[in-house]
Amino acid sequence: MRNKKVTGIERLKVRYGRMFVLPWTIGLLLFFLVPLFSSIAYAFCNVSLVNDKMLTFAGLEHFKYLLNEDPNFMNNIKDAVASFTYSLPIIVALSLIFAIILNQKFKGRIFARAVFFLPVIIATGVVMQFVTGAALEEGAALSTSMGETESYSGIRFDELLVNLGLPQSITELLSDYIARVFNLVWSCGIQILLFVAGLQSIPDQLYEVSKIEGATTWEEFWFVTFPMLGNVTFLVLVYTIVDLFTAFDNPIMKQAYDLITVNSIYDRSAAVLWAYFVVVGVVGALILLAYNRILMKKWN
Amino acid sequence: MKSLTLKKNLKSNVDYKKVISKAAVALFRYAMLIAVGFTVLSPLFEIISNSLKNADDFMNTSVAWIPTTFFYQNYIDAFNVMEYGKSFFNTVAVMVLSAFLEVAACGVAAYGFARFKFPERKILYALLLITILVPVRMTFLAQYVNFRNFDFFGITSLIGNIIGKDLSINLINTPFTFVLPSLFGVGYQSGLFIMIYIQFLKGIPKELEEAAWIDGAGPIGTFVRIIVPSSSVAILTVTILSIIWHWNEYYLTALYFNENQPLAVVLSGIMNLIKLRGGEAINSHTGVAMAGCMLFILPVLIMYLILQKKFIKSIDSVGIVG
Amino acid sequence: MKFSMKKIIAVIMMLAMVLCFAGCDNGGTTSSYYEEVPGESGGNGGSTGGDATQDLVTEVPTNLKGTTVKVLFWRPLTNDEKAVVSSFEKQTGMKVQFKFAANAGAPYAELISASLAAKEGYDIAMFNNIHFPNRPTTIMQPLNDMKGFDFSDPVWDKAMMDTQKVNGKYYGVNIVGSHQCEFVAMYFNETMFKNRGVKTPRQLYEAGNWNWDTFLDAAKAMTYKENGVQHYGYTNRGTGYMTYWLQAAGTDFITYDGKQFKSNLSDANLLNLVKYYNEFRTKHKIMGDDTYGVPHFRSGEAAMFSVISYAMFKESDTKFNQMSDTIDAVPFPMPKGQKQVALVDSTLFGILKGAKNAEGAAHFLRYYLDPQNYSMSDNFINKNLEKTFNDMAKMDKRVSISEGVVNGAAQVDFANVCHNIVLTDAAQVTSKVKSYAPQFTIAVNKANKAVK
Repeated sequence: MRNKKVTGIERLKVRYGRMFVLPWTIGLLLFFLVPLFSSIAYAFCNVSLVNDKMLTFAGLEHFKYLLNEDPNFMNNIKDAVASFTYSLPIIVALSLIFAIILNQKFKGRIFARAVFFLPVIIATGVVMQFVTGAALEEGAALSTSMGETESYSGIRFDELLVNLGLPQSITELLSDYIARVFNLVWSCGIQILLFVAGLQSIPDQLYEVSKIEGATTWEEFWFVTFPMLGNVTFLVLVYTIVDLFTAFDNPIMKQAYDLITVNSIYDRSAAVLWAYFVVVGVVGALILLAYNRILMKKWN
Repeated sequence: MKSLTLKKNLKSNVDYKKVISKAAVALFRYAMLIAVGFTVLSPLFEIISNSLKNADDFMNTSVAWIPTTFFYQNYIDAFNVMEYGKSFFNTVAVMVLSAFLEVAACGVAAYGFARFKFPERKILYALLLITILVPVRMTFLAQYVNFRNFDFFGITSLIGNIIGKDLSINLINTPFTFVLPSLFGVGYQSGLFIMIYIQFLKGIPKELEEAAWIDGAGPIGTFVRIIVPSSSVAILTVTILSIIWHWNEYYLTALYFNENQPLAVVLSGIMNLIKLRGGEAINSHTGVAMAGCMLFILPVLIMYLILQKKFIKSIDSVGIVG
Repeated sequence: MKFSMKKIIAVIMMLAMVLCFAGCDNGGTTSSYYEEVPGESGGNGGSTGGDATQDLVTEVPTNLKGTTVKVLFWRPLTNDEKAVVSSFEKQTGMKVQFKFAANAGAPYAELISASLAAKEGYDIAMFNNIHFPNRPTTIMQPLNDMKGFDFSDPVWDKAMMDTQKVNGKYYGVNIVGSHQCEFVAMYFNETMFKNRGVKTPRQLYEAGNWNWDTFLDAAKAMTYKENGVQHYGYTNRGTGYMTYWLQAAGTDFITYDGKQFKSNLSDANLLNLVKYYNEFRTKHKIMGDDTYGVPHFRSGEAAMFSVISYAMFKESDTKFNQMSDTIDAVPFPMPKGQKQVALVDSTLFGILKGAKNAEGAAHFLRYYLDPQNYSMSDNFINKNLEKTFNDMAKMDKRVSISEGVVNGAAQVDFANVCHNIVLTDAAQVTSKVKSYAPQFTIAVNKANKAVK
């Protein structure tokens, strides 16, 4: 329902708003939308790198193949969603806990903060390949994969545990568990940073007030900290969702990526990607909507 | 009096509880920090220790964490193999520049999203989410073609058709492959930065802006004089992240740069480079590769440590600049 | 009369003329494909950086002068290669342009795709046997009828090229003994053998007595414990390379006869071979539990080691030249009674579809790959290794294509499959191997579609 009378200020606001996002929109048109639509087009066409005509329309052929014939696709989707559902809450909760710890004043605080942020500096980059040893073997002359999928499972742990004399099965179990914990901690870096920044912007006055009113630490957390973190938590949720879904040790992303690197098949990989993103979009939207609902409820 | 004694008892109880809870919290805190710290630091220690080993140390299985000699020759070799000075300069000239441009451009776009209502906002916001969602590796092919035959909205090809010459610009191998998108706010991970800015901007009280408005400052004036100073935390966060991610980017960079490659690409191919540029004279290829990793991480690490102090300082004087 | 004096004298004179011309040749190779470019000193090698006795120059049609050859390369060029390239450019008047990926893995595949999609018109790209048949069949051209290639010239390594023909056509080329060849050798620690008084593999090989049986005996003799350190007779490049043993016996997980791929998992011969290999570790105990053998060979814990020939060179990262012991290598052993064949990790160069200068590219490859343009001799760690390399270059060759086919279907990771098979006990290994049949069948079907 439009107000019949649009105030002068509102009209101004529309103009200024558009002005501020104009460069970004131009950038989208120049640099992003073409690749985006190409990628969508690939999913619905047969892509040939060598023919004169690169794309020939193929309709839903690739999607049908993925749903019916490809043995891995449905499993990978299930795996991805399953691992996502337990990783997300853990990561968000862990990051929050760590951020709270790092926010307090204690000795060695600066050092601790640097340490917690290290994964961001190392894990997103080239160095990770050297950590996992993937880039080191045999001069990479005949390597076929980028080794992104190998997680640093702390080979030292294996040896340590074996040296402690534990039987093989327990060692394997523990190593697997440690590897998972390791991966989770390593995926928290940015979320911790965001939470710390968010915690920092909560005015001290609120804490003072709550102390005067005699709130316990528990109550203080739920009634002061958490609500003020609402925005940041939303951000952390979005980032974690995207990160979990697009990380390349995710079986689906690995499948799509293998199709590209090993076979140069761009059409089916695009189909994998977009089918997957429909799933991601739905799951992500559900989570974010639920989050908004809960926030509304708590505040009302 | 009863109430007084009651209070007195309570007080001593509370003290007792407080001491225990404080100790427990401290214990928990340090336990967590040590456990996580170990997880985080052990790969780093491994890289450092490996970078100082010579070939004998690698072959000797009893040498684990502590190398027998402080074999810093690895670092000299790595410096030469990576052509560090030149590559460092390339990285700064392209990647760091793009990072700074992105920080500014994303802020501008975010202000438009956060504080103004206009009809296209919802659609553009949806597009923003899509830019975050689509991983770079899936669209690289179309991106490459786009940059290879760069066409400004079809205008250059139109003129080219008229003139009869091929006017499309080849942006591959130029810094513009990163600088231009960053300038417009659609650079590497820009969508995420815009979202970070939006969330922080929402936390700034509207009264400040309205005050500036009333004082007669236009939107740009408000932006420059009120919003930017109040968002120092967000700006710092985005700057740190942007620089780190740009520094680490080696996937698209490898495709777009054939010569004058930034450090990340050089590092990713270092095993080949060690063979080609160092050859026989190199004592241990693994050691040099590890030294290369350290040389790669160090600048960003130092930058982070320096900026991080400012982070804390700006935070202690809580956020709002009056 | 038939034998008149005139005729005899005429014949003698003809013979004399022929001998004269033969003697007037430059000596060395008599390939008529090569002639010196007029006007050039045809010099002996300063600019090519080699001690080649003869600088080989291509006879390039003059219409190719001034054209460009574009190459997609997976690593930067060595100094030797750069010298060869500039020598080629000088002598033919063509230009050669390179584009590099950081390494041969994923970045190279993407570089090729991006370049093709942008229609940049690059001519040359490379594929290993692990990229067969996908890469050559989708983006490369058949070479048999391509101008610029003369396959009657024996210098082309047809033994290697034949292993990856598609429908009788070559898709990739290499030259005999070029610096881009990788043969599988059995390296051994000569010092350790001599210290134990055991006959070295080289002695066995040169006596014509080098096969699986004598290998096993040697390995058992070299497995011992000394000063608390366990020494093993043999270690392998990695669990993924049990395929060397299959290839040596003439079989593989997936076979290719030039026309069709076949999954071989139910073959009794194959299963016996897998068991035979696993027994190295379990029954004969000549192998330890390592999965990557380089450190163990270098530290002297293993007496023999199978890996490709890149380890024979001084600049390789295996750094065998740093070992204080003398090392040597012989070709990989064959089962008793079978002919000695060279096992290869092949690198082949092909011409891309949409290439703009295929003929020029052909001439360039002929020059670039020729080992006489390089001083490879200087780069070997010792003379024995060089001898083995050159021996293997001249043999018949076998290539393993199972990895390429299996990974090409992206159903299961071949290295993982081998890893699991190698670490399974003898009792379950048959069922383990057969358990991969469905994925292998899918992979084989896909590969067969590609070569149709």
